[in-house]
Amino acid sequence: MKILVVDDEMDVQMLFEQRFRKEIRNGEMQFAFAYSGEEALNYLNSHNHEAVLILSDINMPGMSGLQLLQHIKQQYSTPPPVVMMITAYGDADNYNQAMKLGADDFLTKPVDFIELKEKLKTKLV
Amino acid sequence: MMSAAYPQNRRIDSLNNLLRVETRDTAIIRLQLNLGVEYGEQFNDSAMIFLQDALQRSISGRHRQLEILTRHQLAYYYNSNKSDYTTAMDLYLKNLEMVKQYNDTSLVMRDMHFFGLRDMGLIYERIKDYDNAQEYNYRMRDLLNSGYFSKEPRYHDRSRKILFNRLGSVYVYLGKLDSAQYYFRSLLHEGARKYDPTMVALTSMGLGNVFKAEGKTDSSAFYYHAAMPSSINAGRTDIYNRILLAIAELYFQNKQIDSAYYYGHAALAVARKEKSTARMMTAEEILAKVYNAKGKTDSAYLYLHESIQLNDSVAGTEKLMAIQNMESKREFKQQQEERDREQAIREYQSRVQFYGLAALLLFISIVAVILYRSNRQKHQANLQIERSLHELKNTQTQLIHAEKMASLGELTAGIAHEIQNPLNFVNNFSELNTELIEEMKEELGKGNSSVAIEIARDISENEKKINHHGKRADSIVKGMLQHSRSSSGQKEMTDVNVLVDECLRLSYHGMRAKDKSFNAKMETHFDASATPLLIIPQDIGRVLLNLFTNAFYAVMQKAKNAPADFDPCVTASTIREKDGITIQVKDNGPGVPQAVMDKIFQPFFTTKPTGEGTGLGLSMSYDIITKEHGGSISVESKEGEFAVFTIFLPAKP
Repeated sequence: MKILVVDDEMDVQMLFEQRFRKEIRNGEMQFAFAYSGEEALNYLNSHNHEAVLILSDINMPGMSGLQLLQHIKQQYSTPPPVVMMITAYGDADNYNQAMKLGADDFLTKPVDFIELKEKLKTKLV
Repeated sequence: MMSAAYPQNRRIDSLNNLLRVETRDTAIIRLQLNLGVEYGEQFNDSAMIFLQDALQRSISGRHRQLEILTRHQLAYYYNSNKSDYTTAMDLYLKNLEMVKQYNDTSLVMRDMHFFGLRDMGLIYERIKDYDNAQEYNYRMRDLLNSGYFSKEPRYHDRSRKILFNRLGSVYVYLGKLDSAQYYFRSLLHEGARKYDPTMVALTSMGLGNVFKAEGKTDSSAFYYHAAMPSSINAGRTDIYNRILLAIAELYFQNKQIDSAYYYGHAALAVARKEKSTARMMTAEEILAKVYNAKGKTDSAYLYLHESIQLNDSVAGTEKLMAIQNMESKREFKQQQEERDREQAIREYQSRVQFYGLAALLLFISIVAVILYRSNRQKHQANLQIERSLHELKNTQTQLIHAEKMASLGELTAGIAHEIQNPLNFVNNFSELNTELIEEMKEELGKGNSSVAIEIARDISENEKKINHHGKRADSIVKGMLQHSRSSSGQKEMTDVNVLVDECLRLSYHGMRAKDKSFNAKMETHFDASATPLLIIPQDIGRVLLNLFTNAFYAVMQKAKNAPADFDPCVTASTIREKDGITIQVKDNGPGVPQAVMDKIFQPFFTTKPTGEGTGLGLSMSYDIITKEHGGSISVESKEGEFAVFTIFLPAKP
């Protein structure tokens, strides 16, 4: 199963690849990375919506994570992919807006990777 | 016998013993002066006898310094122990006249001059004549500004602190609360920095008074309570006493009668112990009001009665009037003496029949008087101008400080976010390494050295990331410290690209933290060949932060009404020139209207709604770029499309 991680921090790729190295080695999970909302949409278009789960940061220059979420939930309706938001600003405003737009989960940075692993496993089953 | 138990009495005894055997005139005066001080502190009226005898002795022996010192002490005694302001004022005035006349520039005498002015100002404050009180403070200021203690930095510093505190206190009474606040705050910061509890106590109390006058009860109570421990640490019971009085008054005004009752009694107890008539009076007045509010008119009457009795004993109305008249009487007396002298001269001249010469002399003296008067008027006008200039400078300093704090406040949240990201990476990669090291041990145990080597490679990659992000956080914190520190005014070799990038990110995150819906693209075009420049990085940083914040603000304003496909974007570029570097900050916001273009660099000009901008940002930027760095700043714009600010910084300013 493919997971698309969207974050403007480049080092997120290395971090995820190491954190999930066992799962990647076993073939349990596959990761793709995009560094902006625009790039994520391009990826989804060109890869025929193969990602089943999207993990997106909210605060990114240009298209924000919330705008990306809105696009995905409005345009890719069959079947709508699971979108989990990750943000450093865990405030009520961001949370409410993400939920209103149809986010499937809401995590705050620093990410608890043990918790994330559990969540990914249950969401992907 | 008993007296030996008290160190102070022991000192008095030994002074008395010395006095009994001393025969030299000046030594006797010094011993009497010391005894006057010691007895004065104990509220023993023997002080007056010793001081007056010392004064007579120094006048007849023509010991001028001792005469002035003794008279000063005597004036202090009348002022603080007896609350006899009339006599005190007369003595201070006499001293002032003597100090000026003898032109003795020793430090002791200069101090007598300075403290004489201060004490006279204090007396005017006590009789509630605040204009005159401030007049004496201005005289102190003129004295210091003329470089009175410029060769003795410690004396200058001490005197400046005294002056600031006095100016602040009287500004409160005059209702100039902003000025008062300025003086107290600058002293409070200084006192806190140098662990000076007396200054902290005095200025916190001053700020309490300022806020009381503004009607901000909570802030006022906060500062009063903050002042108390410092006054105790400093051993200044008098200040402690005044704070208690002020708190009692504050609570009474705020209708917290029980608290006012508590602090009023505490203040009265301390004032009685200290034998301070003035503070006893004030405490009794407050308590009378408190009892009245409680409906206990008997007790109220009792305290009021006591207060009035004290008042009668120290400050009858006539006595107060007398002080105000005293100065003019003294001048009158001098004029009289001068006129007598002129009369005598004229009689002598008539006797020797030099009428012609006398007429000529008269003519010359009239011309001299006219010249002298016009010169004096000019001098006074100059003083007035200097005073206004000084006040203007103060206001400017305050405004700059406010502007800086405002921009720092806007940035704080953004900075916190900027640090959080690298710290997350540091934590994550270091946790990973711990796991990887365990795995490596296992693999080595199994003898899989090739897998272990692979893991070691990962560990070392992660280590690099930890280091990279640690340094990133470090540079952000350094940048923040640099911005909050007051500019050192020192030019340093600075990489302009790094500075521009840092400021762009800081203001982006600052905006972000203030407005959750904010979003804009950032573009950078840095000229990699740009060489470091000799600039003041804090100041240029402030200019850049200001320009970026304005740019983000502009694109956000436009986004509010623009069609959905509008892409808010701020661009920062650097271009290396032959003789310096050009920095450009561009935004695709609404642009600058032609009508505003000319005014944009003027102080106080702002287009932001009230409360959102001080209007000082661009004018200060203009000063920093042109005056400090010899560069230039300009703006170009097309309404509805873009605005671009261009800064040129020369390599050799």
